[in-house]
Order: sequence, then structure tokens, then C-alpha cells
Amino acid sequence: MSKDMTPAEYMQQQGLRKLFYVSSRHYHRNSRGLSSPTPEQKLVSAAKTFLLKNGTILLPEVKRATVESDENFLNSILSHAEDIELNLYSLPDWKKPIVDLAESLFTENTSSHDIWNGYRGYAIAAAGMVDNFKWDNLFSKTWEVQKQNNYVRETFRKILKNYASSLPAAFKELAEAEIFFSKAKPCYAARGAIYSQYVESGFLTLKTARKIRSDASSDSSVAGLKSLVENKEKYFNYDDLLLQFTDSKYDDVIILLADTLPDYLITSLMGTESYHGKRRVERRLEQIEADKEANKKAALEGQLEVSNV
Amino acid sequence: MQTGTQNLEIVPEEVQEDVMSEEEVVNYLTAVGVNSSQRQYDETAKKMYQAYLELPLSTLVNAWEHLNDQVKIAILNSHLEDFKRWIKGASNV
Repeated sequence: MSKDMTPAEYMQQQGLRKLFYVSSRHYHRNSRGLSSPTPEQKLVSAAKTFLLKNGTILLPEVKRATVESDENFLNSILSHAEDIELNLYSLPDWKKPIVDLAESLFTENTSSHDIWNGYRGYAIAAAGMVDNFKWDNLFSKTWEVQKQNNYVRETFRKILKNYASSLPAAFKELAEAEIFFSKAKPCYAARGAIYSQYVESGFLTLKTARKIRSDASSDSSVAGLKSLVENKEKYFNYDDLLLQFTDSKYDDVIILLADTLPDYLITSLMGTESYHGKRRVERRLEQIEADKEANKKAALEGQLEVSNV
Repeated sequence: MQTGTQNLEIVPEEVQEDVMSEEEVVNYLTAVGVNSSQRQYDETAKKMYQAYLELPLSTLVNAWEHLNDQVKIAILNSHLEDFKRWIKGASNV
């Protein structure tokens, strides 16, 4: 606290710190349709928005928080900016502070474990606002940690997504060199994350689909298949790619296929040896039959109505 | 003519964020700071809280609507003579 601060200035500073220590998440969850925000939540959000758009009051505190690595305060600011879709980097006063926050990810004080564990969420959010941020460098820094962990942190997924979209060719090369066509592969969770992104980026071929189907982990294989189902519009040969998985040895893969294969491909699972898969296929076939019957009945009733008019 | 029932889609309520002026934001921040300082134990916060309560009422009134009840009572106590005079004046009207 500055020594010559008046009581009113002191209270304003305390208010600022308090305002950005309170999570804004509840308000924004509510704003997505769960329930209406209270007048107090609306007031908090409006005050935060004003302070972000007019940096004069907030920026000195951002400077302090950056020097002190005040994670809570900075996270709260960046998360509100993301929630209201405000790119702070586009505002002249914010440009330098945002670049400084993003660049802090590369300093010696910031360990790759800290980033991977999500302790630098604010800096990653800032990096997402900066033009031409070096996502490849950040990916390399966290990839070494992720390779050895059987859990994928949300932070890593965010970095991976940005890396793959900013440098697609480099990402494809890495995925193929380190996973698809490598003998020494990283942990299953890392493989699953890469498969998922690889498919989402539109790179899947019959050959790489076969590699995902043959992965030594059911979870990794499911991650790749799930991503294919979610990104079907990116593949003209979607059916052929799906069929690469139908002889999988994993129950979870067969169950996912039984639930998502188009009706006309469901019989390709008939030869599966998976017990749970077989039950799921039976249920799906029964559903298909029931739907056909219902459609026939509806069509017949429609014809009768027309002939009665 | 169109017959039959139409499916009505439930659209989530659109949240209109209020727009605040700089003065309103400053007053709100001040009130948030005072409300939180009232519960703090460190010497600086206590000193500043006490000093804030003693500011002229014309200054305190700006943040009044966002202050919590305990702070409002503390302000009344801090300016008791002014309030007594005001009440006496009002009761003579």
C-alpha cells in the first residue's frame, strides 16, 4: 500500500482486489441458461467489464499482480475477458501487459509442471489473445511432462489445440513420428489426446485409423474413435474409416460403434466376440426395427386420413 | 392455412449486462473495499476503515447504496451528532 494513499483510494484498491478475487464463473454459468443472474451478479459483471474496457484503474493492479504472480487475481481478470469474449490484446493499453503475461510462460521461473498442472491458466489465456504466439515452443515445454503422465490436464488440451491449429503440418509430423510410426510411444493418455486432436484436425487416413484401432490401450482407441464420430463432416470416407474399427478387441470401442454406426453399417459388427458389444448391437437392431414399424404405421395412418377427406 | 401444433423451442434468457459509468464503478469499488475492510484485523485496514468512517457524510453518501448494514450503522455512530441534529431539525418541520 502506498503511504500517501487517502482512505477513499485505499478502499477503492481493496475493492478492486476483492472484486477480482471473487469467481465470476457462477454468473456466467447462469447466463448460459441454467438460471437468471441475480442483480448483484449482474452488477459485479458490469463493473468488471467496465474495468477491463477502461484499463486506467485496473492496469496498475495488473502490474503488481504480474510481479507478485498473483494467480487468483490474474485468472479472474482473464477468465472474465474470455467469458465476455473480449480480446484484451486488441486494446492499446492492454497490449504490453498481455504480451508480458504470455511471455512469462517461457521464463526460467515458470516450470513446465506448473504450466501443465494449470497454475498458469491466466498466461495461457493471455497467449490465446496474442497474434502469432509460439504455440510450438509451449507445446514442446509441456509435451515432455504429458508424455509421462497417465492423465491429461485441460491445460494440455488447450495448448495442444492451439498448437495443432496454428501449425497443422508440424503437429501432423510430430503425431506420426512420435506415436503412429514410433516404437517407443508415450503413455496411453497422451496417445489418446494426440489421436483425438489428429482426427479433429482432419488428418485421419485408413492406415492411421487402423493404427488407432490396434492401440495397446482401450482408452486411447476410444478417444480416437470418439473424435472421428464428432468430426464426421471432415471425412468424405467416414464410413470406410469407421469400418477400420469394427474388428476391435475392446468392448468400449464396439459399444461406441454399436451406438454410433449408421443403420446400414450396423451388421458389420455381427461377428464381434465382445459380449457387451453383442448385447448393444442386439438392442440397436431392435430399436431400428421398432423405428421402421413406427414409420410404417405413421405412413399408413397418413394415407387413411387422405382417403377419408 | 397452417394446421397442427408447432414445436416451441425454449430459448435461454439473454443476459443484458448493465452498463456502468466510471463514477458508478468507483463508488461500487469503494463500497466493496469498505465492506471487506470492516472484517479485517490488520492494523492498516483497521486504521483506514476508521478514517473512512470519519470522512464527511457528503463523501460517504456516494457509496451508500452498496454498503452493508454493519458499515451503515458504524457511519451513523461515527456521525451521531450530525444525525441527531438532522433528526431534531426534521421533527420540528
